[in-house]
Parts: sequence; structure tokens; C-alpha cells
Amino acid sequence: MYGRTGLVLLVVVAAIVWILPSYYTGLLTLIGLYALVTIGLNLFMGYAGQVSLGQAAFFGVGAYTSATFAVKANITPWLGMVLGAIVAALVAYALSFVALRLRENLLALATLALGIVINVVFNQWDFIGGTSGLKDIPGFTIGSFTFDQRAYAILAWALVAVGIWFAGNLVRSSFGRSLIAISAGELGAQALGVHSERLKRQTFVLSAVYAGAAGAIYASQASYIDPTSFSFLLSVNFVLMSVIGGLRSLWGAVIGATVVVALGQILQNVVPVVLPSARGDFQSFFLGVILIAMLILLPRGITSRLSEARRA
Amino acid sequence: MTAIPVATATLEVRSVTMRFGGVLAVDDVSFSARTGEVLGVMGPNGAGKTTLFNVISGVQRPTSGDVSLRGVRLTGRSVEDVASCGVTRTFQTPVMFWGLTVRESVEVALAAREFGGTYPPAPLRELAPCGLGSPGRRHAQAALRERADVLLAGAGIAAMADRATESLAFGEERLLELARALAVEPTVLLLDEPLSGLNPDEVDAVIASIRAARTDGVAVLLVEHAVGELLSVADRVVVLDHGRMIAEGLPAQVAADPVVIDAYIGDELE
Repeated sequence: MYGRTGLVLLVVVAAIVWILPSYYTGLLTLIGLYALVTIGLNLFMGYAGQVSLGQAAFFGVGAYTSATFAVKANITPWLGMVLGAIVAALVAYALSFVALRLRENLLALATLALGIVINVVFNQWDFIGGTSGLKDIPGFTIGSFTFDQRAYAILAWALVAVGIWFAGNLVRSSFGRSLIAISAGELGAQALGVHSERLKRQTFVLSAVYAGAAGAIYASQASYIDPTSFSFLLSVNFVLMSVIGGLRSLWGAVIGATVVVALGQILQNVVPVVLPSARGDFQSFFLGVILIAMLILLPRGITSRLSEARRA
Repeated sequence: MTAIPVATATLEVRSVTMRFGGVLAVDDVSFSARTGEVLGVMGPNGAGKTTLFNVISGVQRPTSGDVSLRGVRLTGRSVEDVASCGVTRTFQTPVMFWGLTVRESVEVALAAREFGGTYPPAPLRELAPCGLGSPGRRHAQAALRERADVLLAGAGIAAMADRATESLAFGEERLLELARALAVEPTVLLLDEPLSGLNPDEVDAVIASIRAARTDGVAVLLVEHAVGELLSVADRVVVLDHGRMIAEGLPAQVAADPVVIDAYIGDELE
């Protein structure tokens, strides 16, 4: 069901990009890429019951890997995307030995710190551009066709379709059920022989694969990246998308990414009209207020209300 | 090495001591449990029964001493490794997997065994087949479901199969937890007060399950405050008091032992 709906969504995206102004097509791409990251994060947070405040770092690792190979070695972003996902996975695998020993608040702090450390590496490593970042990142191509905004939107949502199909299979399998068991009663699951650390590690690494692949596309689409693109704030945004959409829901990831990006855009347009004297800070302020209100009114996410409505 | 004696000890607890700061929760306790017997573990509150279970199941590492299963040392292994070796347990407060149905909870237990092993590497063995929804995986999933239904029927809770675990009453939680533990086909089953909070029908169901497990050759260690039930179902009993083992023997012997009676009455007077 996830696979089919993902495919339908891809077809819809592939259709509307022909009528959408290119600015909005770019936003659609961004929503798709963020949705991909959030699907991975939902597996780790919503299903396995863990928390990660460092997802932007994996997004950044994917972006930097693909961009560096493309800029320095002229390697096609198609391969760069695969390499970005692999390097992000390796980083997550290495970090998991530190992070997954910790629980809840401590895990949140550890992932936050690791995300910041990785951002420091982006800043300090001159080979990958240091503070000034990498520019003129080559785009995706097919033969002589270089990707335009439409093609990026379609690519991003094709990955969303694949990502949600894979995650959908996962959550309905023994793997996903074991994750739910771990999040509900880890010791009880372990007493049955569920290797919780091994399953959590695989899920954490998978979430980094999603983020790494998304980051690689982001780098080529934006053609310019620097460390500020992958700051702690972006990690917080990913968690917000997860929570607002509904943690234990894969469609929640798509909805959460859409709502957070769209709200940001709406406020950017509406606030200057309503409050002409307001500066940019006010947009963040209102975004914060709206998000807090949503968290209070829909603590289990938008999808929780949708599924209640369907049942009623 | 020739034939193994039939009455060989399955679970061997040797000189286990567990100290928390200045408190000796378990003090130099040794005993063994054999296949196909119910070993009752008695003792007043605070005697160290649950701590002993925690040590055996790998939740806590003893200060000294060790536990082994058929000669394989369990001490120092993680809870899941101990479980993979064949020792599983239930908890005083049942641990439910909220978010899953009753059947799915049992499937998790069954899948835990299937997911064991070391080759191929975990992502190829677990993550990839499950995520790709491979035909082999779907087949395995259907087999788990069937097996879970058989187990639920055996435990007399087939009617609960599709219910969300959040909706279960306390007694039903106990029955599910026991069915889940039996699903992993343990060699040793540790039951921590499996009868407390149950109605008479549920008590009968749990006792029937314990007896069936014994018939299947499981060594059942039973901690239970309902002394009458414990003495009727146990083949042998060990008694703890203030962390020390003060008696061991047949139920009738232990029940008549003045030291044991003293420990219980003394506890009540305190």
C-alpha cells in the first residue's frame, strides 16, 4: 500500500511540475528531500522509540560527499548519491557505538553533540571548502540533459516513493514489530532474545542512508553548499517534521515536511503584509508559536487525527 | 565423554552473591534446576528472589559467583544473549509491547529466534529481506503468524489474538507474557509472581501452562507469593531469607521446616 501510494504521489508530482512556477517546483523538491530524511528519522524515533537531534549531519555528510567527488574528481552525482548514502551510513555506524549506549535524554544530547562535531568538521576541513563551502557543484545529467528544477522534483519524489515503500515493508515485517516492541518494553523484548542494540543500530544506519541520499541531491540541486546549510537548527526541523506529522507514521513524515516548509513560506509572504514593520525574526516567532500550538493540539501528530477521523 | 546422565542439571547457580552498597541482596546462593521440573523459589519480601532472577537472566551482573546453562557460562552475557542461550523470563509487572496486537507480540518472540545466528551479516539477514518484502520473507512472515495462532490457542487466549495490547486487562497481560515467553521455546523459564493479580480461571490457565511446559522438558523457576499454589505445583523448593538460602527440598519437607516457618512468621511480625 505504501509502495502504490508513493507511486501515485510521484505521478502527481511529475504532472504538477509542468504547471508550477519554478520557484515552487524548487520548494517541492526541498519538501521531498526533507520528507526522505524524516521517513528515516520516523523509523528511528517513532518505531524504535529512540531520538536523534543530529540528522542534519547525515544530510550534510551525503551532500558533502557527493559534492566533493563531483567538484574534485568529476564523478557523476548519480554515483555521488550512492557514495553519499554509503559514507553517511558508515559515519552513523561508527557513531552508533557511542550513541546507542545511551537512552532518551542522553541519546538526544549525544546525537546533538555529534551533529555539532560533524558541522565543525565541515567548517574546519579546507579540502571540502571550510567555512566558504563548495560552489559550482555539477548537476545530475542523463546523456546531454542537465537536470532542471522539474527533473529534481521528480528525482526527489521518486526517492520518496522508493523510501516509503522500503520503510513500509519494514514496519509491517518482524523487523518493524521488533522495533515497536523495543520502544514499548526494551527489557521485555531482550528477555525474549530480541537483539535490541543490533536492530537499533541497523535502523540508525538506515536513517543515515535516507538522509545521505537526500543530502546528495540537495547539493546538486542547490549547486552550492556550506556548513550553515546543515546546522543544528535543521536537525531540530527534522525532529519537528517527525513529531508534527506523527512519529509512528510514514505518511506523517511526508505531511510533516510539507507542513513545516509550507508554513515557513506562508509566513514569509503573509507577515510582511500584515505587519509591514516586522523584520525576519517575526516569521520565526510566528512559526514557533504555530508549531507549539500544533504540538499541544495534536501531540501525536497530524496523522493521528486523520486516522481517528477515518475510524470514526 | 559418554552418555550424559538423564537427571543432569540444566541450570547451575554457583555461589552467587549480589551486593548493593552495604546490602547483601543475595548471599552465596547455590542450587541447580533440572529439565522438566518446577523449582519453586520462596521467601518473604526482600529475600532476594527478584535479584536472583535478575542475575540469572543477565539483567544484573553478580558481585561474585556465576550461572551456567548446560555447562555454558551465562554470567557476563547480555540479557538477549542469555535468552538466545535458552533462558527467558517474565516480570513482576508484565511488560507489554504497546503498539502491537496480541498476535504480533507473540510473532516478535518467534522472530527473535529466527533473527538469531551470525551469518550472513545482520543487515542482509534482517533489514534487507524485511525492507524489500522478498517472497521468502513474506513466506516466513505467514509462517510466524500461523505459529503464533497455534501458541495462542494452546495458551487458551486465541480469542485475544487481534486485540491491541493496550486494551488488555492485567490478568490478560500476564497470560500473554507467559505465552510470549513460551514462544521462544526456552530451556529455562523464570516466572516472577505469575499468579499475582489473577482471577481463579486465569490462575488455572497459568498453572496448566506451567505443567505443560514441565512436560515439554522446560526447567521452570517459579517465584510466587501464593505459597499454597507454589507448593502444589513445585517439584522442589528453595527458600531464601535475607539473601541467604535457608532451605531446599520437597514441598512437603520445606513447608514443615521450622526454619522456614520461622522466616515467614518472623517476617510477618516485623
